[in-house]
Amino acid sequence: MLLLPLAGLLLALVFAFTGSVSNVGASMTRLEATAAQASANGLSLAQAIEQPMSLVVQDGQKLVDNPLRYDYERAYLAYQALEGTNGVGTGLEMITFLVIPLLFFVYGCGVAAGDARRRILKDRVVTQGATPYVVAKAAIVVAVSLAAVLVAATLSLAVAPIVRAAFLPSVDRSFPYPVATLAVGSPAVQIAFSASTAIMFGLLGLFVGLAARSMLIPSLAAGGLLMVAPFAGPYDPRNILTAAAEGVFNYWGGFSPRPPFPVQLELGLAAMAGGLLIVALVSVFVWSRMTKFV
Amino acid sequence: MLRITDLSKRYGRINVLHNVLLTIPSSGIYVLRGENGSGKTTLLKCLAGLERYQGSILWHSESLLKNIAVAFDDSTLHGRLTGLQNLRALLDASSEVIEETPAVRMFFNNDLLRKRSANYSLGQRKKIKIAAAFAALKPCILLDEPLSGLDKSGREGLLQLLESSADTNCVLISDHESAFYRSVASSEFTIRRGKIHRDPGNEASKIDEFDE
Repeated sequence: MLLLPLAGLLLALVFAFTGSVSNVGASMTRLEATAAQASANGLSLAQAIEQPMSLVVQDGQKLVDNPLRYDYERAYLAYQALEGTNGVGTGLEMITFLVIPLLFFVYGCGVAAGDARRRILKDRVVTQGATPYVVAKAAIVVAVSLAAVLVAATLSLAVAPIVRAAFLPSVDRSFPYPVATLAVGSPAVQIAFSASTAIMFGLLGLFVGLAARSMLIPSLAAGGLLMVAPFAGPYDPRNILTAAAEGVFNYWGGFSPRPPFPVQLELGLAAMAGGLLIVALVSVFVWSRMTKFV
Repeated sequence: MLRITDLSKRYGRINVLHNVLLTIPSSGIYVLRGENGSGKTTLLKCLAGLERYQGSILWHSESLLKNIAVAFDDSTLHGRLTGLQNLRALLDASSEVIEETPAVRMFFNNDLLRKRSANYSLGQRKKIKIAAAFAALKPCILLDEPLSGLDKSGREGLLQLLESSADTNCVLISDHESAFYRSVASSEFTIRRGKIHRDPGNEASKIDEFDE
C-alpha cells in the first residue's frame, strides 16, 4: 500500500509539470500573437507595460483594456511558476485539489481493509489490542501522508529548474520587464496545506474502510463523488479547499480552480473537520461492535 | 487463574453460550471438546476479545486480553511475507530472537522460514500460528483445533510444546481429538447446549484445584 501514494503523487507530478510547460508555451504563443497585433497598431511592449491595465469579468467573459500587458504578465507568471521555490507550489497546487483527495482516500481505505482482506485481522487485534491497532493505523496514514507530500515537494523543487532548462531554454530572454506579484505562502506553508489535505482524506478513507471492510466500494463511491459529482452541478464542494488555499498557492502553473462553493470559508472548513470527526466516531463505534474474527 | 463468569454469547436468536461459569488454574493443559457448532470456537473468540459478549473474563484480577496468545484454526497468513516476517509481525520481535525460539525451531528450519508463506502448505501455515502462540510468552495460550492439517512430526512437536508448557502456562485447547492429549491434559471439558461440563475420569488432585 505504501507504493500507492508515492507512485500516485509521482505520476501526478509528471502531469503537473507537463501542464505547466504547455501553459508557458500557450501563453508565449498568445503573447506573440497579441504583440504582433499591437505592433501593427503601433504599440510596443514597452509602451504597453507603461500603461495601466484593468480586468473586468462580465457574464463570464474577461474584458481587458490592455491586452498586451495582460498577456505579457500571464506569460511571465506562467514562466515564473518554474522558477526557484515556485516549483514547489507548481508541483503541489494541482495535486492538492485534484489528486490528493481521492488518492489518499483510497490509500486510507486500503490501510484499513488490508488485514480483513488477508483474513489476518484477528491475529493483529489479539497481538496488538483493538485500540492500539486503530491508533497505529491512523498514525501510519498521517506519517505516510506527510512523507509522501514532502517527497513530492522536494521532487518539485529539484525538477522545476531541470524542466525549465530542458523544455524552455530560451524563454527567459522574452521577459525584459519584471512583473509585480502578490505575496503567496512560502513553500513550507504550501507543503503544510497539501499535507493537511492528504492527512484529512487519508483518515477519512481509513475510517470509512474500517467500517466498510472494503477498499473497492468506498473508493468507487469517493471517485464518483470527487471526480464526477462536482461537474454535475454549478458547485464544486472540493473547492472549499481551493478557496482556503487563496494566498497559499498562486495558481501560476496553469491550474485554474473553478469558483468555490458559495459558503463562508471558516464555516466550510469547520464543516469538513466536523464531518471527519463524525465519520471517525461513527466508524470506531461500528468497528468496535463488529466481529474481529476475520 | 482464568475465571469466566456468566459468559453469554448470542448470534441473532441463537444462544451459543449461556451463562458459562469456568475457573481454571494458571498452569496446565485443558481440553475442550464438543460437537460441531456447539460453541467451542465462539468461546475462544470471546476469550480473545474478538467478539462482543456478556459476562466477565478475568486472568487473576485483570483483563485476559493482555495475557493471551491464540492460534485459530483457519491458519491465514500474510501471503506476501515470508514465514519469518509473519512471525516478526505476530511476535513483534527481531529475526534473531525468533529463529532461536524453541517453539519456532521445533517446526521450522531457516530455509523454510525464509520462504514466502503463500507457498506454504496448510500444515506449515498451521505450524507458524502454533509456534507464534507458544513463542509469544503469554501465560494463557488458546489453541483452536491445532491438529487439523498437522503431519506426524508436527503432532509430536505440538505434544512436546504442550509438555514443556504444562507447568508454566494455562493452555486451553479446543479439539475433537481429545484422546491425543490424554498424556498431557490436566482436565477435559465438554461444551453442550451453551454450557461447559467437566468430563469424568480426571485425576482428583487436578480437579480439586478449580471450580466449575
